[in-house]
Amino acid sequence: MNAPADRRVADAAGAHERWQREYREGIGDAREIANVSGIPVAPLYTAADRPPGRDAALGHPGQPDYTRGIYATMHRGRTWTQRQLVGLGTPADYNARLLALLERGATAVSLIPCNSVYRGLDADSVDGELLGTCGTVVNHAGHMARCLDGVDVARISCAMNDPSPFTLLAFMLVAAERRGVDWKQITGTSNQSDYLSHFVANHMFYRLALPGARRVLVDHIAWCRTHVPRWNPMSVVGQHMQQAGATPAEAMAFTLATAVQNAEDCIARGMDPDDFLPRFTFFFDISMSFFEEIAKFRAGRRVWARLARARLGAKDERSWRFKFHAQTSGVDLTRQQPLNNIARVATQAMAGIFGGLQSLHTDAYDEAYATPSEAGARIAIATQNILREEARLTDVIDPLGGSYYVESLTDAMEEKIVAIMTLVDDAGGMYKAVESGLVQRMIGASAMRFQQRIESGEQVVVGVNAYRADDDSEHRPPVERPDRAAMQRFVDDFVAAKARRPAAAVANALDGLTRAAESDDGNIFAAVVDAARAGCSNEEICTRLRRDLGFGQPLVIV
Amino acid sequence: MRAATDLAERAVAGDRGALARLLTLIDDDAPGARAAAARLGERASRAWVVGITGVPGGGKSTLVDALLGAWLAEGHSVAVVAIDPSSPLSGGAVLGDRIRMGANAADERVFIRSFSSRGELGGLSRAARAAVDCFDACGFDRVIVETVGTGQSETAIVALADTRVVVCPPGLGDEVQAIKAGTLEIADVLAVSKGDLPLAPQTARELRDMLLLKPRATGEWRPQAIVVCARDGSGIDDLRAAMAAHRDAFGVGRRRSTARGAPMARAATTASDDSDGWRVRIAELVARDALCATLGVTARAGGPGSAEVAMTVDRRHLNFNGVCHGGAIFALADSAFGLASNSHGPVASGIDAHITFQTAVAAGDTLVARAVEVQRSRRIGVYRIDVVRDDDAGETPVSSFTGTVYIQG
Repeated sequence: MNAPADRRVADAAGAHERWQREYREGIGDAREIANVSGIPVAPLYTAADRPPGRDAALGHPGQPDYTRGIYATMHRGRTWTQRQLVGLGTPADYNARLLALLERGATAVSLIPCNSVYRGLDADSVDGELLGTCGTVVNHAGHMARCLDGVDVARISCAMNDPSPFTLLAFMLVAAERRGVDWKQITGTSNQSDYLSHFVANHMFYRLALPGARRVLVDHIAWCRTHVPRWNPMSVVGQHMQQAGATPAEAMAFTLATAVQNAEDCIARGMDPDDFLPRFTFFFDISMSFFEEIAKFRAGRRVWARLARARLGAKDERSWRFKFHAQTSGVDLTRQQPLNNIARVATQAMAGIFGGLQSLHTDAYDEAYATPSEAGARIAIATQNILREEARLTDVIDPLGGSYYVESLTDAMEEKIVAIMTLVDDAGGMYKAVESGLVQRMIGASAMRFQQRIESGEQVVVGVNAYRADDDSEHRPPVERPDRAAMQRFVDDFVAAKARRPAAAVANALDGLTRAAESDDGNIFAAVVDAARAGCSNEEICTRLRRDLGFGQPLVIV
Repeated sequence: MRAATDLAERAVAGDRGALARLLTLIDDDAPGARAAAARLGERASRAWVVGITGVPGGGKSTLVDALLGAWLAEGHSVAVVAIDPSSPLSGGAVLGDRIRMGANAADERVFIRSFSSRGELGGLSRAARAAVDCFDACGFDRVIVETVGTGQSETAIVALADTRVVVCPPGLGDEVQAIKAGTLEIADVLAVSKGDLPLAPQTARELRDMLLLKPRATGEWRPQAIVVCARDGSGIDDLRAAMAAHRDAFGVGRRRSTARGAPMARAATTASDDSDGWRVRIAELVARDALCATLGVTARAGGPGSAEVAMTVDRRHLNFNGVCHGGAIFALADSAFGLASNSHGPVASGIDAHITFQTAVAAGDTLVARAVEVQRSRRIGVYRIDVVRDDDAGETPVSSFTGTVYIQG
């Protein structure tokens, strides 16, 4: 009865041996290959690489453990949000660019502020030449209102690149309030709310010392839950760490550990995990390591579902769903032969789509030079449209599910991610691991190793260490700079507007920040919103909170 | 309180997450945490506690990694307490390397934890001791304490270890002979790291010469200097043999026996025995000190290896910000340091001192500096001086000062 089946198995075994023999003969002693996370990669994967019963346990999209996607419909139902980061020049410049993007099919808004805003400085404190070159100058609620002129903030999701203490969100809420928009309708994300990732890998975001930043984040999550319930106050960011050199497995592990830390901080404040976890989102990098990235996302979904349920005690399925935005990798773009970046971005975008993302940013090919030009941004969006509507990558949910390689790699990535998270847990959790420098050291070591691979030629970068062209200068994209005269007029207007404010109201609002910071139960973010309403500027708010909560110093690792 | 005890119970029962959280409570000095650890410590004292001390970048973490690998291969469970402010948790990063380079699962038998100083007096050494107790009670039979070995409360941490390995990178040069002499005092075994560098044999020779010159009683432990190279693993077995010989000779659990007989405690007791006589003696020394007179430093108490002086801050001590000048606080601490280190008779000259400032001090505040002897040999003495503000509400820590003297005569 079983004979035919047995023979099939025997034949398959013979076939495998024959392949092994022929492969060896053909290729000689093949060198070992490992991916960036250090997982060995075999030349072939077969059913024999899958533990018995493992594939049956994969489940279906929309069902725990969500390996195949967090929604039943996935990209068939709603494709991803096309979220392009935009930020340039004055609020008026930004608004013009934004309206053009919305017309071309962008379905959500994002705002990148000028570097000076990240550093907590107003336009009149900074050298004019630096203003608006890599983001928009937004210093108070009036600027934000101008940025969002003609944008229906009640209907379009807005992502604010807004580190602690979240002044941009406060400005946006005040602008919405002045237009009569109900805060309860507003959707979007505080994109840079993850202070831990800033301490590790984004040094322009040092604003508040670690303990202060920790408190402001919990205040912000608690306040948004009540007042802007459709807002995602927590975006846990793996992107900075991977861009700084973390391997894909490390980036996923550190990000999940950060989410656990922030969730446990909220729980310690008395919040129910199911009240805030459905509003947690994640933000990742997609590097060139195509299959590794796909496996990273599939494994991350699985680990998060388990953590949210077993460790954080969430009972609502929405808390278990791992919603993520992903951005193609800026550090993989090259200055040499810049048009090659279009191919890189397309490849990375595909990995993200196969990984099951909810929101995608494709980098413009000229980002190695400057903030994207209009032409560059157009190609970036077109790339997404081509992948979705010409290549039809969204026709099938989790199309790589069941692939021997992708499933094996997903399991191996999961194991690696859990191992790294154990190190972080041993160190006392992500906050302590960052405070002590463990995370920074591990990322430094990984960055060093990756660079060595490039320098030895083990890792090819086309146009950089291989296939170099003698002269590619003619392909260099033009660099757009803000109009200096217009920027000067903008700064003059800002200074005049500040002078017109009622001084007592401003002083009182800033004192409100101090009162909140000094009390045990005051909500600091509520005081930030009040200060924004009173016309306080970004610098005024940041300076006061730095004084009261301490200034974040980089941890120097020798 | 209750939370710490619960965590301790669960940690001993094998709950790794509970152990991690208990260590966090210890690091934060949460109520009851260190007491819970101390109760744990009473249950078991079978772990071999090894101190690995040396300058940052000197090869400590590669040595820790080599020991980890060797011990795990023999079936031991190994915990690491990492205390190196400049390269925190270097051992943890080593494990990170392992995970990146191949090992897929974290090894259940390894636990690495770093502790950072937050400026409180003696906090770090108490936290380190509590962590060692926890690891011991939770079944880790090897505990490595990795420290720089100098500065605030580090010397006290070194005293936790049963066997102390001082890591010396090659080619330190003449200018640091004094430092070498200081570290030699605490070494049970010397490891000359980076054995593949050309200067390694010469450094080993110099260290052996210094060891030979040091007079020792018959039967007293003689440290060996062993050249090790993490790259090819050479010397590691010899080093381990020397460490094992030391353990066989002296046993484990030393941190218990030193708990009571620590030099600090001894100095404090002696001071009270003949407090009047000592106060007169140091008052005479203070009276002969011109800077003490200028600053208004007065003697309060003293003893062999200890001294207590005081100063009331007035306008003369203020800096441009209107608070007490750091130099004035240093001078006060340095006076106590000088008195304590010269209390035994032979002239002792300061060769190294460090200070931290924890609290601003205003005019009208009274400051008290207390010096205690951490370690003293024939040539080298190490002193810790705590400066506190003394008012009706009690004492508030102001500064911590650590100093080393060279003893003449």
